[in-house]
Amino acid sequence: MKVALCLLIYNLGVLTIGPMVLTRLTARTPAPRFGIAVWLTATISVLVCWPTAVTVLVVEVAGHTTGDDLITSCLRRLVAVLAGHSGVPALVIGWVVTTTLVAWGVATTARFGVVVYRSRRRARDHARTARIIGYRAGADLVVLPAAEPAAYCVDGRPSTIVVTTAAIDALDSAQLAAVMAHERAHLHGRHNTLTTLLRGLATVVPRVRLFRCAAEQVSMLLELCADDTAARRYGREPLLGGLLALSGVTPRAGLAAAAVGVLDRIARLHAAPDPAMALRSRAVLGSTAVAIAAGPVTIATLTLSGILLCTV
Amino acid sequence: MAKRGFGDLEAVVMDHLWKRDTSAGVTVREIFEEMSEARHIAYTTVMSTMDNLHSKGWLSRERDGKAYRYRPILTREQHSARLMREALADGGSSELVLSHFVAQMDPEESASLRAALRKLTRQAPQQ
Repeated sequence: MKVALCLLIYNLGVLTIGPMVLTRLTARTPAPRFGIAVWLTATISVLVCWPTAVTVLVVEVAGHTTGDDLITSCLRRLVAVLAGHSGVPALVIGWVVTTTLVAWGVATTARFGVVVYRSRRRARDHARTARIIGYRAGADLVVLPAAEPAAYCVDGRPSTIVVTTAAIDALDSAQLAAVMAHERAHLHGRHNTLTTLLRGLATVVPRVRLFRCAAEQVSMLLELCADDTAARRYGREPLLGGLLALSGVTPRAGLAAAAVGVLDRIARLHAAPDPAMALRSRAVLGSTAVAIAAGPVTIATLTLSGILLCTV
Repeated sequence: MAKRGFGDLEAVVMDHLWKRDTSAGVTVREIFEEMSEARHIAYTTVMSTMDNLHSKGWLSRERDGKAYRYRPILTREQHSARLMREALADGGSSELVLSHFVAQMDPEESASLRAALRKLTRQAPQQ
């Protein structure tokens, strides 16, 4: 019982305070990769611990046992319950709950697969269409005649960067190079794939705030990563100039946090780089990721070493 | 000369079609002859490309004796407008995943951003 309780409490902790705490920690960080690592650690640990905790709990409740909490014996006892060795009520509960949970798990995984597949197909089609109607300006670049300034990249076969003529008119050559470097950083780092997976998870399990926050925040952090790559190559000024030139020109309904995000990026590029702060940020984020991962590892270790074997 | 993918052929074929007057429809032979002026290409390649474009909804066609006459369904500008609508409608939960250089925002957000920017960039960027 203790194992299940510990895992559930840990899970609930990550799920309830995770979104707020992690958002505060990772916003505007000079080490966006570390920020992404923190969010992914939290997401993966919840995905791993939640089914484990529920399974252990089911076994405990159905088997009416306390005491020996080793995971392997849990599975053996689950099998025993399902085989009828703990009596008929336990047998019924055991089967109903197990099949429901397994069915839900399989269905959710399947839905996730479908959502991700559809998303990737839409991106491929969009890239293909852009390549047909736009003018090829490079191996991965397509220029689209349009009145709205826009520059974006989309995964496909092959992945493509789309820049409108209005955007090209708004940028000088250094700024355009910086924008291209930013978009290429997205493509080389497979950022769109990560975003697709996280958004898929948030779509398929919408009531878990952590997953929605992870999708949003990681998207933002990926922009910061691409900014850093482009700034390293072309300097902060052309990139900043590009951001300013392309900001706030197109009136379109879009992301609620869009303006804040852009302002964050501009402020970040505008300020002088602070190596001490970067180091501090890396240390904080790194230890946060380790702390999150340590939860289930600690619980598992304590279980296996017998400390959690005392009866409740 | 860099090796061209199949997708590039579709772009070239559509380019030829949009440049022409296609009110009466265009046969594969006519496009093939035009394309042969610029490059080595097989007739069957052009035919299968146009067939593909038809099955993917870019071209309509009608029989004219033994051959088909093809027409673009939309102009380049109409396609462009559609594509832009799709790209700029990207929301957090939409199926299409793009990475915009600058996230698209509504007019109020634009205005407040511009105001904040004016305050921020009154100082020159620090070195």
